[in-house]
Amino acid sequence: MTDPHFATVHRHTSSSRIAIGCGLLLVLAIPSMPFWASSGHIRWAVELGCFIAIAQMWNLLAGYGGMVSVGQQAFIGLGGYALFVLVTLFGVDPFLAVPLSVILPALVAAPAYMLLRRLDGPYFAIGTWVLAEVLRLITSNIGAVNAGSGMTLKAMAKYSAHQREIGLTLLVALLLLLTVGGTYLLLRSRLGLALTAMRDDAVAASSQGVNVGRMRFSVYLLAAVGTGLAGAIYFMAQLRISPTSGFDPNWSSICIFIVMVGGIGRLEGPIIGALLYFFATRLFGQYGSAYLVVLGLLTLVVAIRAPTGLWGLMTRLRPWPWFPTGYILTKG
Amino acid sequence: MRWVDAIIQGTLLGGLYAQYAIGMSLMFGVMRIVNIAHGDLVVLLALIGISLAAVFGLGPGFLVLLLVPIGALVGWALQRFILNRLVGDDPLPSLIATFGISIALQNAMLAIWSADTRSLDAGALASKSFQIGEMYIGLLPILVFVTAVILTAGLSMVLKGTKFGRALRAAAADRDAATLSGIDTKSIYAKATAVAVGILGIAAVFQATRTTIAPADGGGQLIYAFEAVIIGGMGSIWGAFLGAMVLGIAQVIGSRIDPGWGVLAGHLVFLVVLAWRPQGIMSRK
Amino acid sequence: MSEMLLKARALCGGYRDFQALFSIDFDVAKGEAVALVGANGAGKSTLFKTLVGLLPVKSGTLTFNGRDIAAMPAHTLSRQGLALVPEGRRLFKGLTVEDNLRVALDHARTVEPGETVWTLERLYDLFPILAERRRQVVEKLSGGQQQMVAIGRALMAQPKLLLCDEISLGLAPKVIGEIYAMIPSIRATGTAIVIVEQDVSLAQRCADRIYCMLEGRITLTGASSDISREQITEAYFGVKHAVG
Repeated sequence: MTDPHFATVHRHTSSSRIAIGCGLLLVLAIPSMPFWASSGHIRWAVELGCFIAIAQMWNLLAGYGGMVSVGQQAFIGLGGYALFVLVTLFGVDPFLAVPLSVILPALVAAPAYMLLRRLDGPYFAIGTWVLAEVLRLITSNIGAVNAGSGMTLKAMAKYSAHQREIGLTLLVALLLLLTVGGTYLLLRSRLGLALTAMRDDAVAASSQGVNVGRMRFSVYLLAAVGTGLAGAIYFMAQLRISPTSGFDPNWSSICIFIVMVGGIGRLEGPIIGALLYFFATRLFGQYGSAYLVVLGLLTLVVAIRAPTGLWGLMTRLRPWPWFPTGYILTKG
Repeated sequence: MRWVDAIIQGTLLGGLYAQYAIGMSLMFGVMRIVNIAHGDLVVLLALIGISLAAVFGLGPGFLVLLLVPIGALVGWALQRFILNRLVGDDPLPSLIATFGISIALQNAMLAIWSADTRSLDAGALASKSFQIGEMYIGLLPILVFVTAVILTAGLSMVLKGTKFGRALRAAAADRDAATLSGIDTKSIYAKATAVAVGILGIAAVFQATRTTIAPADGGGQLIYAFEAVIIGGMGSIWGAFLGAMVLGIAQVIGSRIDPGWGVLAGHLVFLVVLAWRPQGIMSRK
Repeated sequence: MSEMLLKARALCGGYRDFQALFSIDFDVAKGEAVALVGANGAGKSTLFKTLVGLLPVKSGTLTFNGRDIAAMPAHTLSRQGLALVPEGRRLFKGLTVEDNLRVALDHARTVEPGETVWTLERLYDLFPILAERRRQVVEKLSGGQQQMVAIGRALMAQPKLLLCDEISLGLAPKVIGEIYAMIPSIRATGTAIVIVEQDVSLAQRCADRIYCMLEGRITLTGASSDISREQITEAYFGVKHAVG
C-alpha cells in the first residue's frame, strides 16, 4: 500500500481508543462502588459525576450552540424540585421519579427559549439569569413546596443506606453515559456536523442549509433536560432542597469555571475542568473567599490569554484526543 | 390614594435603577458588551464610600465628588486593560471575563468588608420629606430621581451634540469606518466605560444612603439595570430611563400586594415586555 | 516626476494565515490621479486596506509623505492625510448626513497654511443635494447620495491622498457621471487620488497613470495615454485576449 493516491479515512487514534475504553470502564465501575468503597468516596463520585454532567451540558449550550448562559441553575433547581414534588406530593418511588424529573425542565425550557431568543448576544446570558431568579422567587412563594424553607426527601428512609448508594451510583453512571456519551454520539451524527459548523460560523452554516434557529432550540432543550437530570440526582443525594440551594447562581460559576478552564467547545474540556475544580475545592475550599477570588481571576485570565483552556494547551503539546468527532486522513 | 402613592414611590425607586441602566445601555450600544460586574462595581464603590465616610467623616456630597472619579478610573482601566482585548462579534469572551471579575470582586469584598449589610448616614437629608395631601414624599428619593433625569438628559446631549458623542455613535455604527475617519476606537471605548462606571459612583452613594448594601448585592443590581434596558428598548438612553421607571413602579406595586412579590413583579413585567414588545416600549419599530 | 506622496516597495500583506499581496511596488505623486484596475479578487481592496492600516504590512516598505507608515495604526494615518472611501460606503447608520461628515471633520488632519481647507460649505457646493438633506439620517438617502456622503466624509479628513474603492458600484450611469464629475474639483485642491474602478475606460479617462493587478501582483503600470486597451486586457486576465 504505497500508492500515494490512496488514503484511508478514520476517526479513532490509539489515544481515543484507550480513553473511551477507560472512560467506559470507569463509568461502569461506579455502580460497583457500594460494594467496596466508603460512603464518603461514593458521595464524591456522585458529586463529581453531577459536575461533569452539568458542565458538559453548559459546554453543549455555550461551546456548540453559541448560547452563553449564566442561569443553568434554573434547570438544576427545576429537576431537583420535580423529583421532590413527585416523591413527596404524588408518592412516586424516588428512583422511578428521577427519569420523570426531566419533564418539568423540558416544559419550562421550551417557552423560555422562545422568549430569551429575542435577546441580543450578551443580553441572552443575563436573561437566563432572570429566568432562574423568577423560578427561585416563585418557588419561595409556593406553600405546597414549603416555600422558602424547602423540602426533605423523607421517602428515601424506606431504603437502607446501602440500597440508596446502589441506586444513586447506578443513576450517576446512567447520567454520565447520557450526557457525555450522548453528546459524543450527537456530535458524531449529521446533527453534530451542523452543530460544529454553526459553532464555527453561524452565518455560513445557515447559508449551507443549517436551520440555526431550530438547532439552537434543540440544543437549549437538550441542555435543560441533561442539567435537570443532574439536578434531580444531585439533590436526591443531598436529601434536601431549598430555593436558595436549588436555584443558586453559584451553579453558573461552577459551570463557567469548569468549562472555560477545562476547554470550551471540546468534549474533553469539561471532564478535565470538573476534575480540577473538584479536587481544587477539596484542597483549597477551606480558604473560602480567597479561593473564590483566585477562581474568578483564573477565569478572567483564561478568557483573555487561553480561550481554548487547559485541553487546548494540552492538545498543542500532544494531539491525543479522547473523543474524536472529526476524521483523520492518512496516506496508504 | 394608596396606588397613586405606589406609582410615585415606584418612579422614585426607578430613579436609582436608571442610574445603573444608562451606563449599561451606553456600553452595549457602543461596544455590544455587557459587563456582568456592573452591579458589583456599584457595591464596590458604595463600600469604599462607606469606609471613607467612616474614616474621614465625609458627607454624601463629598463622597460623590470622590467616587465619580474613582469609578471613572476603574471603568477606564477595565476597558483599557481587559475588555478592549475582547471586543468583537462573539459575546462569549467579554461575558466570561466580566463574569470572572464579578466572582473575584464579590469574594474580595466579602473578605475585606465581611458579609454585613452597611449604609451611609445622610443626616438630615434622609429624614426630610414633603407632605402632599395624605402622602409623604422623601427629599432623598426626589433628589435621586432628579439626578437620574439630569444624568440621562446630560448623557443624551453629550451623545447628540459633542465631538465625543459623535465619535461614540460612529464607533458604534461601524468600527472600521470610524477608524478610517481618524477615531481611536479603543480610546473611545475606554472613555465610554469610564462614563458608565463613573455614573455608578453617584448611584453608589444614593444606594447606600437610601437603603443598605452588602457584598453579595451586585447580581440584583445588574439584573435591575438589564431589565430596565430591555423594557425600555435596547440602545436608547431615554429608553433605559423609562424602563427603569416601569421596573420601579412594578416592584413597588408588587410589594404592596405582597411583600414577597416585589422583585418578582419586576421580573414578570420584564417577561411580559419580552413576550409582547421585545423591541422595548420606547422603540418606534 | 514630482515628489512622491505614497511609496510602497516590495510590499507583502494579507490576512492572518493567508497572503494576498506579493511584492507590490506602488507610487502616487503629489496631486496625481492614479487608477488601479483588475478583476474581482485581484487584491485591489486588500491593497487599499493595507495602505490605510486596516490590514498589517507583512514585509516591504511603505512611506507616506516621507514617513514610514508600515506599522502605524489606521486612525493616525487618517490624521496624516491618507483617506479611504471604503467599498460598500460604510456610512455611520443612524447618524445624519451632517454628523457623518462632522465625525471626520472632528478628527481631521491639521491643515498647513496655504492649503485648501475642505469645509462643510465647500462640500455642499460640490454636492448641493447633501445640503438639502443634511439633517436626514443616511439610511434615507439614495445610493448615489450615500456615495456622495462617503466621499464627502473622506474629504472632511483633509486628505493629501484620497483612495476611492469602487465608488461607482451599483449606481446608475447618470449618477456615476455626477460622481466622477467631482474628481477635477478635488484634484484642483491639490489632493492626489487613487481610484479602483471596474469600468476600465472610465478609469483610463480620469487618471494620469494606471496600475493593473492580477492575483495579488502588479502586472502592468504606465501613463494612461501610453497604455493600450490590449495591454490592459492582457494584464487584467493574465492571458493574451482578443479585444472585441
